[in-house]
Amino acid sequence: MKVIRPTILHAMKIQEHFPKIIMEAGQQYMGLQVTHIYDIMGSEKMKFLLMHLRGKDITGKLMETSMKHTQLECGSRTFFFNLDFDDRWGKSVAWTWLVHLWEYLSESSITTDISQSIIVKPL
Amino acid sequence: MDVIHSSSKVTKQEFVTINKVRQHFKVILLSDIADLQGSTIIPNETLMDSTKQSTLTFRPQAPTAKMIITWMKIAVPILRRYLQKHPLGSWTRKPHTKTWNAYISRDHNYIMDRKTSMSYEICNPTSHQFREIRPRSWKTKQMYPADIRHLKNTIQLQTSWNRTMVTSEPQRRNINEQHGRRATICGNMYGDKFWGKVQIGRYQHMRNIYNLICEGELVAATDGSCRNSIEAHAWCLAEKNDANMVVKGCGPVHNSHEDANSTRPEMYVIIAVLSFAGHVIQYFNAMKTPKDIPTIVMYTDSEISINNTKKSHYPTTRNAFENNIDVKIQLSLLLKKLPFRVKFEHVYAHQQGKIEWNKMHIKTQLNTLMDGHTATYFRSVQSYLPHQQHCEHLPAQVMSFSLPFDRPTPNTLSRLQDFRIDMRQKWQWPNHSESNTITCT
Repeated sequence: MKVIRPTILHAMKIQEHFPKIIMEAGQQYMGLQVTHIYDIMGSEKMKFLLMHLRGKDITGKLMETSMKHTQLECGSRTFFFNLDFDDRWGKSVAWTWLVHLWEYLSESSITTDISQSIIVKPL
Repeated sequence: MDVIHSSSKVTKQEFVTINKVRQHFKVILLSDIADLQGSTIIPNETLMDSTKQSTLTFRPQAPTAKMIITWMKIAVPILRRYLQKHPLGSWTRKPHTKTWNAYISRDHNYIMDRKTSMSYEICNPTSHQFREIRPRSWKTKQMYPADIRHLKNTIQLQTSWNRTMVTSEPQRRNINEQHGRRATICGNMYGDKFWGKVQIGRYQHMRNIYNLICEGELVAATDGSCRNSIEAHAWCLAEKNDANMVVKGCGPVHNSHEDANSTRPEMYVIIAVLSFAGHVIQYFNAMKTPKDIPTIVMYTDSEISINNTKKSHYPTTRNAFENNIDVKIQLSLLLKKLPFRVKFEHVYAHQQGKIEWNKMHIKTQLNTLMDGHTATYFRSVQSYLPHQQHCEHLPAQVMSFSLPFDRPTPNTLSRLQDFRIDMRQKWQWPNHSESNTITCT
């Protein structure tokens, strides 16, 4: 992110050493209201996931399969998007596109409510 | 994994290792590695075979031996806390039975308050007025020997014992004073073969025995034996100093032929001698004040019996089929009711060939004599009493169960017979799907 960020700021015609607090603050604080690229990436990923899951297309089915595999690797009764992503969970699951999204959701304290068919229910 | 993740004792590396082994065993829930009752965790070798049939596609893992050791040492103890402590089907809620504060006697002429241990007698039946019974007039219901048949005829037996003593004492006194012959009393309801025989010593009578008991000058020696599945008991009351035998008794032990053991007669004989001493005091209608309560030292060669006297046995559904539970309950109840204290001392049995008679202690001599006295019963009676252990404190219980098979298998029937459970509703073709009702007696 450090490598890409100056280039993006130059494209937005903002000097790279401009104070980040003023740049990312809202209008009520007289800021420029520039969204962080990491948040843009996370929100776009979430949109992408929801779009394919709702559309039930091939990509959505592949994503659902990947989610089930990650849930099996976690071995938790809680949906893994709602778990706190830490070193223990991160080291014990395979690193996939969805795990990267999980990391973003955990840092942003975003909870999701996806169909419970992904979780193996008790008898 | 949620439980292991929340544990602070598990490090990051251990968590990753445990998760790999878990995926290797194909475990999701605790029930995957627990047995059917949910009380124990299946061993690893069995786990490997049982989890191969999983329909889920787990990520392939290749745990080493060290990783499995980590699983066994760290994960299994944590998971073991969450196992089913009460197996399925056990009786976990409170029993529906209620302990009443008041107890009415069998003949409905007195009421006992459990909290205050006070007794009240009906003085005016029409108006239901009660008056307090003083301990002097308290009549205990001590039975000799312990038997369920005794319960059915409690009042009759009580009167028969009193009648025996009343009628036999003047005769015995005359015999002792005039002829010096030995007097014999026995339970006259079923004969001495059933209840046993009590022999009063020469120049002794009931008043003398009563005085010796009250002065604490008597010791009791007991012994029970089992030969060829026939059980017998023998006891004696002797003077403390010179071992002069005052009264002795012997008789059979009521038990089934199949369950013959040596523990039952040892406890049975304690009931016999204590019941006799209790009857003597009851006959003279004398209850001592707490300061004057005498102590009888009892010599027995059974440590199991001594240990059982220290426990308090209460009738429950769990111990209903325990061995010799009827004698244990009877003994614990008797020890509470007795108007004197009992001190048990253990004696080493079968010392007659090892130590000379003159060098033996008095308690060893008495035990040796009682060992020989049991043989008198074996000589006279060569058959056992066809009497089985019953749960006298429990009514006939009706249980129903359904079998997954078409009919009860021979193993099931033999198992029921082992527990003395009879089928009330026998199996009939083709109503096999209905539950069979059984009764336990």
